[in-house]
Amino acid sequence: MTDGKVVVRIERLNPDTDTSPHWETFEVPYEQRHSVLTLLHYIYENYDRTLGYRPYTCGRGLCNSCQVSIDGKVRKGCATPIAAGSEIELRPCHGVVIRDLATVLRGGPDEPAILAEWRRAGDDE
Amino acid sequence: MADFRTVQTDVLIVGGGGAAVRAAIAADDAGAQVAMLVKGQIAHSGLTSMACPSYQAAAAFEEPEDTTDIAFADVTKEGRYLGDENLIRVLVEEATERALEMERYGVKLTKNEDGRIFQVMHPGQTYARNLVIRGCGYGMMIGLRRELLRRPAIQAFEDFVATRLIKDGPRVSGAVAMNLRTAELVVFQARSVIMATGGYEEIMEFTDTEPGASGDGTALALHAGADMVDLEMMLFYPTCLVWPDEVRGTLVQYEGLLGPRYLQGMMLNGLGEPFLPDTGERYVLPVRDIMMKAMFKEIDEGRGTEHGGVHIDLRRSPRSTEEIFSLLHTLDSLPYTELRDLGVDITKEPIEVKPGTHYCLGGIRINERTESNVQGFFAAGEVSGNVHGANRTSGNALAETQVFGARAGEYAAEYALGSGSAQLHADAIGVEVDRVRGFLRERTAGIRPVELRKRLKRVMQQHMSHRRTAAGMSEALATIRRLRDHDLPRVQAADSAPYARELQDALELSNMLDVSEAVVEAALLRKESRGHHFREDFPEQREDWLCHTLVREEPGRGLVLGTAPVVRLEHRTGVAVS
Repeated sequence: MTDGKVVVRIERLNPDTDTSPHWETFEVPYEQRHSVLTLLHYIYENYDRTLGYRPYTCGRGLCNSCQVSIDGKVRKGCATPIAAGSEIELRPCHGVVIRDLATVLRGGPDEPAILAEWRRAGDDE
Repeated sequence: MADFRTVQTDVLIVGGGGAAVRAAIAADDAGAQVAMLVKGQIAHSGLTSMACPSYQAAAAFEEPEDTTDIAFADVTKEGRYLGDENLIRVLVEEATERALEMERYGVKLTKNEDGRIFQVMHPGQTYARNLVIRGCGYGMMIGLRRELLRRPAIQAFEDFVATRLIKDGPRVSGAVAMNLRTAELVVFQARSVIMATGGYEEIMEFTDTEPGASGDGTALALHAGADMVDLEMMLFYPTCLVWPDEVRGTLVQYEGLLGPRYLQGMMLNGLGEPFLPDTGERYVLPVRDIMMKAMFKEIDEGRGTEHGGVHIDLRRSPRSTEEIFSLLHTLDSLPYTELRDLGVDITKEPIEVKPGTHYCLGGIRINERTESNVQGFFAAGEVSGNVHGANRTSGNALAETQVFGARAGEYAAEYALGSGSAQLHADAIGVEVDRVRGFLRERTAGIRPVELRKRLKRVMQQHMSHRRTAAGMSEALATIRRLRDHDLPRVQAADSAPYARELQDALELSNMLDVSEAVVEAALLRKESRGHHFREDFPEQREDWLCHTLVREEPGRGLVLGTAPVVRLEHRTGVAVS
């Protein structure tokens, strides 16, 4: 069960500098059982410190903050187990990307004017 | 300050969980202008969102014999008499009204078939007292957020983190904050500030809380000169999963799984033997501090399970599989569907659990008006310290967010509207800006914050869990100071804006180091065992230690330690309880 590795393809985008997203592939050794969320922690900690995803998550399937498109289906990252030897593809699943998989889950209660210049059309779900 | 945007408000609320949102509503009701700083997005971050569905209220819906006087006696006793009685009185008196208010906001409470609000009985309660919120803490936050949306005057700055409070003489006058989406620093000027950031469980390795619980509010309050009370009291929840890895650290509600009225599972050690003490009370299971000690004893003495826990076995339950799943649904207990998806069927195999750090009993010392000792500075929810004592019964954390959140909003608004504007001092802001930006400076052999964070958590888990000794804690203190003084200055964060994740990691690390030092100092000071503070070198609960520990940071002196008496009702000061 803990042999092998997982191949993760992630759609990356830095809206400040990139005109379009690009794919990046990471190979993660399977030293322990992983969910999609713990895989992202592993990649951030070991391979790429600029990887964008939301780290403040309940980790127990409640808060929806780790929602991500996994092989084309929107799922909770923390509740999606990954078997050794799998290959998966991750994409952001909300309209506005802050960076990579970190998105605006929705417009805030009163999105402050201070963010106006940051906001782009269509960010409110 | 010309370089920075400045946002002016009457009341600034730091935090975005249950207490923060309730405070915002109350301050808005009182006619104050409100700004909130939320580290993530409301309902999708923070500690309330990950809470169990239990909200304690002596409402007597389920058992008419219950009264707030009985609840007061229960909470005081189970807190090992370390909770301030004025605050406990407020908590038990106001919890029901605040819950019904939440229901009007849009939070859904579980009902009996006849429409009465359903209540469950948890250990330490004489009568069934916990309301069951549909959708757990997340459902509660969705409902509260709905009310927030009805109040367009409240400004919620999401993905904003406060990095330092700014003072004007003895009074708090605002905060420096970072927009996580852009790494931009913004200055907030306020007439009063409410801290509602939750706890600091993240300083430990084995916790069931979200990674954002890095004690930001605790560190900011310390630096602002607030009195911090009983910081050594970190509550263990007895049953957090140790297996499988994907859900390691996730809480499972033992009250429902083992309770005599509910699932009636059994807790067994690795040898298959039952070991929990019989409490002799109407509710057979022990409360958390007693339960965690019994469990740790089995694990420490070599009678643990394969992954270092003990078993909860539902195969021993007299209930049918159908009854089990129906009850799980009623109790809204998690994470059974998640476990099923991971290949664990709880009706066919036992689950492995051990106690994990769950809640910070200590924190900012407040009075009934939620005032701290610093002018214009209020606190509500888990970040405050003297409400529960040395142990907390189930359901009082969510009740605390609403009862004290509402009070904080009301009194902070009253203070803000009744006092002039406080000044921001450019020097203090400049120092803070340099500190934050310093983490981005190029360094040879720079250290990643995540590396130090792991080292800190390891040393805290080793010495600050359930077997504390003067020697171990002194070692922890030396490590913390070495990490802070020698390694923290070498931390270099990636300039990853947009989304300044690693810079935020560095700021959290800095807070965690400062909070850890204060926690260890408080734990060294308390030379007894009480509730969730267990010292191997002082194993007895002692009458002469029936007092609060106090830690305060003073300019030029560092941390100053002391003690303070526990407030008893006859000593009550401040506003009368209606």
